[in-house]
Amino acid sequence: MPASIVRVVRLVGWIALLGSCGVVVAVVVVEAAAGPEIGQRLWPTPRLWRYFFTTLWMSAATVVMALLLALPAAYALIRAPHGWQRRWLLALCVIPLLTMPSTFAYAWLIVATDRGAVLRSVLNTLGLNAVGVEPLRAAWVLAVWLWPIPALVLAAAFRYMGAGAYRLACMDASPRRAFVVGALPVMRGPLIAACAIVFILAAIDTTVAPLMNASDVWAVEMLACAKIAGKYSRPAAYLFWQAWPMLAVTAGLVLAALPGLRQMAGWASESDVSAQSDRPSAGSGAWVVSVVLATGMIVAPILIFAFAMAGRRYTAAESFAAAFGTLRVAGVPTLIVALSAAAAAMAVAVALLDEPNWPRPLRVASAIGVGVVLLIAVLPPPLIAETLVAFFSNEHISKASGWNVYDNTPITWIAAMVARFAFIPVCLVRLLNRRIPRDLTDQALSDGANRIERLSCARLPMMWRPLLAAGVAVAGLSLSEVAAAGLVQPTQWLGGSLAVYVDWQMHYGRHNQTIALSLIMMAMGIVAALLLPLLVSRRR
Amino acid sequence: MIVRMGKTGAIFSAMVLLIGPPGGCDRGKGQAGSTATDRVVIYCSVDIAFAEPILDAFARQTGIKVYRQFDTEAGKTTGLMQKLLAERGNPRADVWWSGEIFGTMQLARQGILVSYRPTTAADIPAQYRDPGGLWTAIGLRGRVLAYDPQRTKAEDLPRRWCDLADPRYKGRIAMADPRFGTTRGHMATLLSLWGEKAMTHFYEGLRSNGFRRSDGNSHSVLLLVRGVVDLAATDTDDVIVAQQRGDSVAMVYPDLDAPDGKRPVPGTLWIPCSVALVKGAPHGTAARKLVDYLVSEQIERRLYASDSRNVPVRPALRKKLGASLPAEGRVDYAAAAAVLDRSDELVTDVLLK
Repeated sequence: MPASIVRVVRLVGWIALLGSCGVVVAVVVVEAAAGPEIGQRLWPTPRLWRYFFTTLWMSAATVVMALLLALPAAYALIRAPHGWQRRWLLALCVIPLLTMPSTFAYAWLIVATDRGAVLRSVLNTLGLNAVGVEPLRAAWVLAVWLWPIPALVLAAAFRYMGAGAYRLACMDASPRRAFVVGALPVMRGPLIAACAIVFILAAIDTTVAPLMNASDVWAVEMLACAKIAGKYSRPAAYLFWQAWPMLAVTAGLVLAALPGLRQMAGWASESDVSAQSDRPSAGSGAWVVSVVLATGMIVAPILIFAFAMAGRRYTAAESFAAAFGTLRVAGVPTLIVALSAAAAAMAVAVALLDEPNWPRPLRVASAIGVGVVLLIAVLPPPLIAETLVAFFSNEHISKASGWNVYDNTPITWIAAMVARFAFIPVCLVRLLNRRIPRDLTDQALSDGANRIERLSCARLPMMWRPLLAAGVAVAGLSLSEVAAAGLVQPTQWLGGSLAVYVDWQMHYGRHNQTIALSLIMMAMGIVAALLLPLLVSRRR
Repeated sequence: MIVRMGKTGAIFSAMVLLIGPPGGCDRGKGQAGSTATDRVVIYCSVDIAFAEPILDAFARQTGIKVYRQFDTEAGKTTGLMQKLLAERGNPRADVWWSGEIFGTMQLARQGILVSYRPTTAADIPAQYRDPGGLWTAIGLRGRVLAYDPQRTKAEDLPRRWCDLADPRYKGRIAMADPRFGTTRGHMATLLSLWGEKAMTHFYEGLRSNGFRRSDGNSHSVLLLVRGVVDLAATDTDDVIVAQQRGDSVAMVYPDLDAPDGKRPVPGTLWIPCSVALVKGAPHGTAARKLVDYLVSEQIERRLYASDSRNVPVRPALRKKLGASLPAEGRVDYAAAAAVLDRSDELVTDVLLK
């Protein structure tokens, strides 16, 4: 890539970073620094504490269930004897992450409200449809969505940390036992980090809990607060001071995860050749079990939707025709936003790239940028959305009587998606950047290449495929994002968010067009997920 | 590799540039600002499924592009109302179409709406029009209690809304968050009829009965269908939609009587939708056309024919369609709208404590 283009991309990246994460930080700091809003209670009411503790145990249950689902998959990813088996399982792992979480919840809702369904009877018999277990149901759906995170982290951790302990343990234990008692304790740092990520994502999700009738949780209350925040002069301050207990928990979790995250960052600079060449492989039993489990979790909602569509008021053809009509209207703008957010997030990642031999101020600026991106990623989506709305709808930026960026462009929406998901390419690129041999850039330096030329000729060519894969992940997540998109989608542009439309419609219950749209959304997630391993694994 | 990177870079740059064009295409038109007649912006808290076809039909008939902003089921009406209030100095919406009336009255009092007497509303009774022309009401929906006739016997049903606080309904009731949507207006109406003491007592009873706070009226009905609760406080349209879906759901119209029995108000609350012009509407001409269209007889007819089954406010049309308002309680909407904020406080401090 020519150095001039890299320069432009970096400039775009910094603008995107400042226009998304920078705005969020600035607005939160400026508004929240003045304290809570007038009349706002700083100490939560008993009701909010109840929501808080329900959220804590729902998220903890999600972590436990996600781990139970992840362990067999991680074990299979490690032991799969063939590359194609790993790639296949990897694709299956990524699909849930790129699927709207409310799709899984909607499938459950359909079963739970269908009078004649056998599955409903099963749920009733097991007590899973009963009163009082709603957060547990929500936790299960969240686990079905989030289990790939610990699975992927453990599989990666094994290569750099667990392989040696595993081999030693294998001397006097079965492979499965060696993995559990030998490798897992050594990998506890990354494991804690993965659990913390799952916990935070479960705690800030606003879509699953309401559909599972567990509305009394913190994230849903935050969304309700966002709806009434407009009556305050400092809506971001109101939301921040409403959210502080959960923000404190999040900060604590991030601190607990830091050692693991540091270890994960260290992998990139290690070259554990023995672990990679001496990959423990065995029969395909574990792989088959994991593939069946992972496929089952993806196929179950598809089957439920297919059965639910049969014999209703509209035929499947009519339902899909109506769904494609909606797709044309809302799908195109959503896709444009998703692709733009992916491009902007990739640009942010490129902008935050640096080298050890760069001047210190530049490296410090990059490090601060990375810190800000990571900080914003764990904020509640309504807070992110409200701060961006407060900034972009400001009279000085977007005067209503005429064309303006807030009403007539998707800038606010894209900024929200960048703020939420830029951490993916940023983290990936930072990790890959450490792996690039110093000799390569030193050679470029001795050839007279300046710092941008060293990036464009030596570093970026080594990481563009993973960067593109991260872009696909950002696009997939942006396509299905609801919590922030619902608050920031522009009024006078091509259209609104497809995911928001589908999510809203899900609340009205069983409806064929919504079911058809859910299937289409799942299909898009599956296509994106299948693309990822191809992008990552194809040889240069 | 460098060549490939170049292509990627080009694609990458093109994607970044995509940010601009969609809005940019409209740039010339949008510059017209308040004089633009080819577009209108509506904030709408009527359910998307019912509102969208109507707005699409208006766009087809007039060639005016309708930009719309809807509200979530959970944050119904309140979210868009707050948006209108926040945008007071820099209004973006032209038309406000609400699924209820109380919030609209509050907006009118707060100076967010501007007077406009739609040309198509002459046959609407005075009680459904603001004397100052700040809003016009259409299509009524009733507040009802939904139940499953296969599970709950008729004699076991509450006769009055205040009966929901009775311990025999412990763990059996679902209701949407009373800070939003029609439930908000419903609770404010009860407050205006019963007074604060009785309302506080009612909320305490509801709370000790462990009422299920649902994610919206339709969600309350889903809880009923699922068998989680026996009674769902909801709107008529949500029950009708469930019935159309084949669910075993029926409804009753509880009286609005005060708990002490001294002030009987037979019948339930019927809430009209409301349409209004926003003060400082950037696209005034097109906005007036849309208001005329939305309050017209054909839209009332259309809403009645939809699954929403809104009962027309026009007596003649009601008669023509054979529609009726079963158990209509006599309610002063303005009195309820006046206590909306106090009602919110009571909900937060007592019911959701």
